[in-house]
Amino acid sequence: MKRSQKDEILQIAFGDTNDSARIEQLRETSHEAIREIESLRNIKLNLQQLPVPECQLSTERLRDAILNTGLGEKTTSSQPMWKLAWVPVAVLAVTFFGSQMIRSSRLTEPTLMGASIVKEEGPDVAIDFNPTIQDVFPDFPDTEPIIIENPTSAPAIKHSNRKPNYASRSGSSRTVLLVKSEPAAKSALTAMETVAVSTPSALGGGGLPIEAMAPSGVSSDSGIVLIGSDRDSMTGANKAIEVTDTSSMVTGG
Amino acid sequence: MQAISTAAVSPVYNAVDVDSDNALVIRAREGDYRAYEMLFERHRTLVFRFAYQMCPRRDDAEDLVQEAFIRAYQNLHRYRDEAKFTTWLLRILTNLCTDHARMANRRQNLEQQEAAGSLTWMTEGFTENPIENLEQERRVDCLRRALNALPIHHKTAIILRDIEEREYTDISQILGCTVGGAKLRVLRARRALRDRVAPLLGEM
Repeated sequence: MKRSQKDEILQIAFGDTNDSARIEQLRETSHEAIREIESLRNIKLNLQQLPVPECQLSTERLRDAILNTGLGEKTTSSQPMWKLAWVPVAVLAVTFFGSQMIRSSRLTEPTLMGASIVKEEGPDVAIDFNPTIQDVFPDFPDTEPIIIENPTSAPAIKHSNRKPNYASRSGSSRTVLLVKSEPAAKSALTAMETVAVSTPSALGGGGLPIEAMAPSGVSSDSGIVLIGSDRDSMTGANKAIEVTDTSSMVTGG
Repeated sequence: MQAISTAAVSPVYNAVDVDSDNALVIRAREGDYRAYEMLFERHRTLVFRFAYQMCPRRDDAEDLVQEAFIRAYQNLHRYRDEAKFTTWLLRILTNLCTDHARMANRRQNLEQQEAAGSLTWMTEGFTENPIENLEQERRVDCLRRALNALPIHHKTAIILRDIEEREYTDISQILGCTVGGAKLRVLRARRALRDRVAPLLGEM
């Protein structure tokens, strides 16, 4: 007998299929199948007649058991703690992505970088988006140039024998902001950080005018020198351009 | 407004509704322990019958039933009205019986067999003919042994479908599977039972 036919016999005998035509067909063709159906029906009947004693579990016993076990969580319908587990994860994720965004915007290489004036009156930083060059670095002494490295992050000032050098690197090329005195460089760094934090897109290609990067309290008669990524064929050093008017400059990457 | 007017017109309907399982569950949830006792008295026979088939030892079965009702009481707030209360209760009991069977398989159950045999001897006696009585007793004993020898998942399926005669939708909810899955489990369990019973009974 095939397995499928055995399964069919099982279903007929246990009452899942009540196809009388099929039963009649089996009755005419296979006496073995009919005998098996009868046998399985007896098994089912005997299964249902298996003796079961009377349940002697009383309500008093159940009540004592419940009281001994405790009422459990019956009265607590508040949300389980694991449902709130996403909150610290979400906070961490937001913090991480926020810091990543700020960091990536800082690392974006601008094509031109400069500084202009932020006129400060009081504790708040006021950014003048359209200053003149006279407002930039008002008391710049004419000293050796100092290269500012990574101008949008914490001011890490390096003193070398050759010349003070603070440079911003991004990828293989670098863009350097050159100013002519160390105090002016520090103030420029502070102002740039303020701008970078308050408007992160300013450094990342948002097209913020270069005046927005201005340090506060810098005299207007000082000049700034921009060092680009192009190298001089003769000396091998990066080319520097001195800028006297930064009103038309924009930053972007 | 519709509900209020219905309640005012047909108090009989409300009286029936108040005694339904779901209404008793709601009352028990709100702290009315008497409602839970009514649920217990209403369903304890059904639950005990199932537990005894799963674990044919009276004290074990009673302990399982008690534990099932305790767990149901402690988790009443998790009960959803989508399933019948008995279905939910049997699901709890099935899990308990499965755990119990796993533990019981690790120890010798000779005492259990003796208890089942003595119970059969005390309770059997369908006919006046002693020879027929003996034969029937032998068949039931064989069947009991074959059922107890089945793996717990087969045993559960056989008891739910062929002894308790539950619908496949109920079985699927109790076993936590689809209706098709329940049908397949029952079919496999029947095959296994048939293969075990046939040598014992000398048939098929």
